[in-house]
Amino acid sequence: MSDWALLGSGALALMICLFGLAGLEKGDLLRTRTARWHPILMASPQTRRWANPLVTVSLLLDIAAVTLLLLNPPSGAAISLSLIALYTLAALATSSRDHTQSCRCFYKVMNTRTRTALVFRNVSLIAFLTLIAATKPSLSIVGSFVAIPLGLLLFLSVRFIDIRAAGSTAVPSVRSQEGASL
Amino acid sequence: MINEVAQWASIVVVAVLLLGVLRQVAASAPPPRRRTESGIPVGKTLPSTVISAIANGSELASSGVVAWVTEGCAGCMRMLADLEAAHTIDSVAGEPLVVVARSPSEAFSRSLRETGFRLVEDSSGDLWGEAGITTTPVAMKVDSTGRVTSKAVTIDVASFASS
Repeated sequence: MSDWALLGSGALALMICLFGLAGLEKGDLLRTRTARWHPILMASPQTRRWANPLVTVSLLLDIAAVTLLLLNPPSGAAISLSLIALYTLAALATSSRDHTQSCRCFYKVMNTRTRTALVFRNVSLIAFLTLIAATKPSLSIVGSFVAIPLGLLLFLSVRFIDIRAAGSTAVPSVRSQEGASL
Repeated sequence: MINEVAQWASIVVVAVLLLGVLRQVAASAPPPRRRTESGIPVGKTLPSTVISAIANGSELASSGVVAWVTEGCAGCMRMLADLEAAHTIDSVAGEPLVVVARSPSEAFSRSLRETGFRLVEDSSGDLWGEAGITTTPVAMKVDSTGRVTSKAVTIDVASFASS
């Protein structure tokens, strides 16, 4: 197995884990009926109103991505890449510039609080998926071991960028308190 | 020899990652109702600034329940979803309910208001500091003088309010 194929196999194992976690998060949102209070779905009254159907569709797409990544990695990579691109656009459209709320991404395992970290993480994931599509790897035990340092490196990089970006974020202005009384 | 060391190192890394995932899962699970050290002790009165905020700039007209929430906290999401589903937005078990949100985003504030919650936006976190809140979600029962009569970390505000 060449180095690139080994790296591709590691990326494949990592992406299966991440999409599995994303599906778990969405399943949990539906089980606890909390989709309407998810930070991304609260962005507009429309997304809030359609939160449960949106999460259900997203969960089904995540399951399809994981299944395809397992059975046919290049096709799985293609659908996963489209999903990551779609989620990135949705998250960017719904977050503000001083966004400091958790996105609860991938069951909070690969969480981001800033747009910079979100873009960095998702571009990295797209790079992994491109590698999968190019090398056409299959899931292997060796690849799974490669996924560990790969995931750890991504996790630490995302955390580092998130902390740096959050440090340069302006403090939100104080809002008036109104309409509440006992 | 190197392979063996790498293998053991991988096992250690897997164990650490597994513990990390389990920790995240535990942190995502809503806490059961339990007593908490967070917040002003039971029997003490809330600071005047907090009373003024929850009474909308005046004095308390009656006893009530104050729910302290943050955005993205799994327990808070569950608490708000349950209150919304039960249509117990502005009162629970006959007690007026006020939600105090710490540093809420615009979307979170709008969602709380649209749902109909009586909301106090603690953008600076000052109210939280003065009330001594360190965990979420915390529910607090206060009497008409602002004295805390009971408090708990809970997602089930309705049964807390009626207890």
